[in-house]
Amino acid sequence: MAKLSVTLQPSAIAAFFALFTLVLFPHLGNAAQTLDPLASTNWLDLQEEYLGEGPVEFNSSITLLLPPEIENSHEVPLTVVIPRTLGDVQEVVILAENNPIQQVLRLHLHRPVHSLSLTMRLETSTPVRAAVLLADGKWLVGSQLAHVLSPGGCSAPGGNSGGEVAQVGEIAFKQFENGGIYKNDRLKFRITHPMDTGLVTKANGESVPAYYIDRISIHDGSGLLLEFDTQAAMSADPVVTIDVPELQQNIRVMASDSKGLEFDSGELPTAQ
Amino acid sequence: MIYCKSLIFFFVATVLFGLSHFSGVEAETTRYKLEPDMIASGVFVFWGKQESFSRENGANIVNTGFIVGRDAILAIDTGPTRLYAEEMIEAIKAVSPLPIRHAVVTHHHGDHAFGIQTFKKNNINILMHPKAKNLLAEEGAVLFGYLENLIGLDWTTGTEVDLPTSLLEKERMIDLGQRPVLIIPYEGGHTPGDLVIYDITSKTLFAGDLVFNGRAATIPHADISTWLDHLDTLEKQDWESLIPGHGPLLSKNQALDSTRTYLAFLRETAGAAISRGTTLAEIMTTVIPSPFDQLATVNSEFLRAMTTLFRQLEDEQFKSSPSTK
Ligand SMILES: [Zn+2]
Repeated sequence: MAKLSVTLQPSAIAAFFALFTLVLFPHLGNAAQTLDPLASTNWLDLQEEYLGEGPVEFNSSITLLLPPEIENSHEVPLTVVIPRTLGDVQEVVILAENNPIQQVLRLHLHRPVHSLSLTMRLETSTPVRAAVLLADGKWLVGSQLAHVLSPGGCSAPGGNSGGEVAQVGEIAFKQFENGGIYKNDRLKFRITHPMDTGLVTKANGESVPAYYIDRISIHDGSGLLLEFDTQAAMSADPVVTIDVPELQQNIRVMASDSKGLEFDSGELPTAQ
Repeated sequence: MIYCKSLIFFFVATVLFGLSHFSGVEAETTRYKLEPDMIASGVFVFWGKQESFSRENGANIVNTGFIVGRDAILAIDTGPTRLYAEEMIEAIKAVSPLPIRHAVVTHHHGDHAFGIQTFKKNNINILMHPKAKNLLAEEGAVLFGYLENLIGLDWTTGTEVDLPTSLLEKERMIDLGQRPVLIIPYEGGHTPGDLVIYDITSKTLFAGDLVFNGRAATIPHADISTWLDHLDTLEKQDWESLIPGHGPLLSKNQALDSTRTYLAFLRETAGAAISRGTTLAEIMTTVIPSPFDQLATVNSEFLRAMTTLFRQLEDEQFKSSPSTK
């Protein structure tokens, strides 16, 4: 197997696969904009399932920052930069292609956000996508390959909540003035929660049922800012960081989980 | 676009080839081929490679050694596997027929402690700090699983995590026969319980992982502030040669700056990021500045260090910030 790879030049392999791809999927040939830059085989299924009918364009201005190699697959930090030049953004969807839970979160924007950071679970190495829905119904997709050294972020034990059961739903919060990529406000919060995937079997053979935060909303003095649909592909005690240019006073984070519990930070005191 | 695709396929091919290349280590390579290097009369070092754990090096990345007295021998650390420890004992016996009476394990990290079982079988007294013993008992299995993943079963077969036979909390002198050796505890630096070995005769200091030379220090169990204090103390001790846990020998005129400046850099980088709100992903994708970019294994160790420090500091930050339920 290894010997065979050595004798083939990379360019020959590339040419072969390019040809192969065009023979199998001729429609890709004349729709270069929708070609997946990371040459994934299952992207089209993902696109249909999570992004629907709208036109899709891969766009390198949406930047995904991931560690160059990932040792702890239970807690993978990701930052997505959403350039303000894109204009009015409606939704952001984070997808991990090779995950058993592919959609990490879906963010509905009621006001602009310029970056979104979170901690997530990756089962194995995978293309990670950030799809951004513009007002005209077009999706722009940024991608990055995650190189996972120790697989099992969704299915292996570990990466548990650092909080006690009594602390489930506790919301901790920190605001950074001028902390964002455009020197605007950055808001960081952590919700104590196990975020169990339902895919983990403990050493004693017992399986841990799925239990996770499914919705988060952020409000300020001017009303609803953001809503997140979340999945257990977010890490235990997920930490979310967002850059919001027009953040007002009286910030409030609310969340609910898959057992129907509701969590509310109340109005948070102003920073500093 | 075609160009871009070629690059991608080149990448995929590289990854595939890389994996298949990793999957088999031939039996003939599973020997460490340890060779003792005499650095002073009666003082020997087995130098580890300046690399990360791999299937090629079997975790032979650590410096171990031994001191020969008139009556007995004291070994420093036990290496990462049963195979390593067996080769180490074999190599020591080739140097001297005297009995190996003691093995001092500098701390609980696997590359230093997973050979304990083999030394124990040879009726050698194994000394460790009690805090290190507790950590080895608590975390040994997990650390071993992690090591096994990285170096493969060919190297780890027959290795079992085992505990020391005696504990040492206060400085103690061990006489090997007209050769007094000091064992000195340093708590809460690199790990909660490190031991340092000082050969009074040759003025050689085996510093364990309190000193890394030319290599990125690892900090999963560290308290950086205390560690920096320990470095000051170690620097003032009267040694001619210092054997770091990882990296080449240091002579008296060389300060311990390599470890000190890197630790300070880690602390400042993580601290500044946390207070500005910079995210872990943002920090991990920044370029490591000179001179730290020159350190062996810095790329992977920097990611690990930032992950550890971020968790600690972020937790402290959230605890001191508004939090409601
Ligand atoms: Zn160590």
